[in-house]
Amino acid sequence: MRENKNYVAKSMASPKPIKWVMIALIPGSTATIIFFGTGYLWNIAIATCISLILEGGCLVASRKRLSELHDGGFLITAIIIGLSLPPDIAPAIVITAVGGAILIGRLLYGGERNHLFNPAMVGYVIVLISFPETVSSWPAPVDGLTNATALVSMKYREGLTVLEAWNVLNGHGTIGGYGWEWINLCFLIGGILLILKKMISWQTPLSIIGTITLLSIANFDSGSMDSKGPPLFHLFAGSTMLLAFFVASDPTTQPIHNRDKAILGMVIGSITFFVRGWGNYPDGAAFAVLLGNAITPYLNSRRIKFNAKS
Amino acid sequence: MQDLILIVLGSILANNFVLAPLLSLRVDNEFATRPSSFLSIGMTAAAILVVSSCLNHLASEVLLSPLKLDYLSILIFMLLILSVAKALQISVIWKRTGLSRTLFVRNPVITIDCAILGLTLLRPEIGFSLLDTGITALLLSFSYAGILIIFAAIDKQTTSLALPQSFKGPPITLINIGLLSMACIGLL
Repeated sequence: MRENKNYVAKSMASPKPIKWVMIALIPGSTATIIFFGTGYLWNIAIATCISLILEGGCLVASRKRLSELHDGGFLITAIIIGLSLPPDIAPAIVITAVGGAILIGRLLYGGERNHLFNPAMVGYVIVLISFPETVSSWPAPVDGLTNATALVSMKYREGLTVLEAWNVLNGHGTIGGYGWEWINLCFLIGGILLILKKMISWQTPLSIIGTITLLSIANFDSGSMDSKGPPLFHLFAGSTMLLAFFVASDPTTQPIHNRDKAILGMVIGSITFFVRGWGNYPDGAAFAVLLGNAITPYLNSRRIKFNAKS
Repeated sequence: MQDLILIVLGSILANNFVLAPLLSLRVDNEFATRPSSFLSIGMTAAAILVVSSCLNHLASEVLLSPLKLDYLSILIFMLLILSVAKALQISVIWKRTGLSRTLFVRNPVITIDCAILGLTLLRPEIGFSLLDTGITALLLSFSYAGILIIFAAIDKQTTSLALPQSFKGPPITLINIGLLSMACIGLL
């Protein structure tokens, strides 16, 4: 028990990465806004305001000092929720997501650097399972023909081969759907910046990307009707890079030891891929992160025991 | 075999039958985070579930169906599970060997959970064959052990957090279970 507390204290004392996370999010969010319009700006603005009000209100209600707001973790939560929800969605859905994230994901667990499950993904999953169609449908970036992300049209292509689906659904790009490949590339750049600044560890993102690549190579059959999509598609479509660098690598929910970080990445990557391939939802990243966070305490406690023995 | 695994995964993850018994909330934390506990909890659950579900299958095939007493099946199944669990517990007490003894004597909750699990998942109405029932029970008990251990670790970690006063203890466990079942919906 004592070791456990020490470890928690150590992870709480890690340097505050909030400023650098914000900076690293800039390229990705700029690309998203360029490709999909200013609806995202509205999402992020609403999410940020609501999260500020909720966090401040709860601090006042629980008689804590308002200076704890300086820590700013709730801003990252709000921005990630704003980026995950489709643009021009009803504000009530954004408010529900942020409310779930801040109240259930963060404050019930005692606020800053305490949370067990990633707050942004808690909020996102709440609205995803409450309003599945609204949250999964995105406006077409260019031609107004399609109303789905590349992942959605890949999933519900009704017996077309990969190449046919590509041609029928106009406006999809070369690798991961029009726009999405650039957005993911920008998030990748931001993530590499974070790793270079030593704000996040490299084990989890690398093992998520590696697992998704390996699984999609293993399942790829040159684009038949049952194909799950080529490897590059899985890496550069949907929210893979945002997931790998900004959500799953959250220092608070990371395991302590490096090997456990890689194991966590493998779990998250494989669940993401399996939900994309066989599940009912087009993207399984949020579910995968929640399940991965659930096994983190077990990974930690296992390691503590081994250390105590030796 | 693949069908069986799919059935088990689906019923555990999507329908949350395994998360439901966790609401009993009283599993001994210390015991569940011991290194060998995955195997031992799994073995305990497997012993009870496999024996009793196979017995129940036989009972319903040989006794109840021919005599047209199907409406008694739930009662009979409960009776069989509880008597098998009790019989194993008594036999283990006489043996006086360490681990299995602790398991049965200190954790009657596990046997009750097994009864709930078996009752919901392994009823003869589902239409499994005898072999299907046995293998499903085996896989089921090990995944039950896995979830129990994961939850014990989560509980241990939450006790070291600075939770709000009113959410310490059972409330935060309920919230953890809720969040985990939300995550499991994605695997449907």
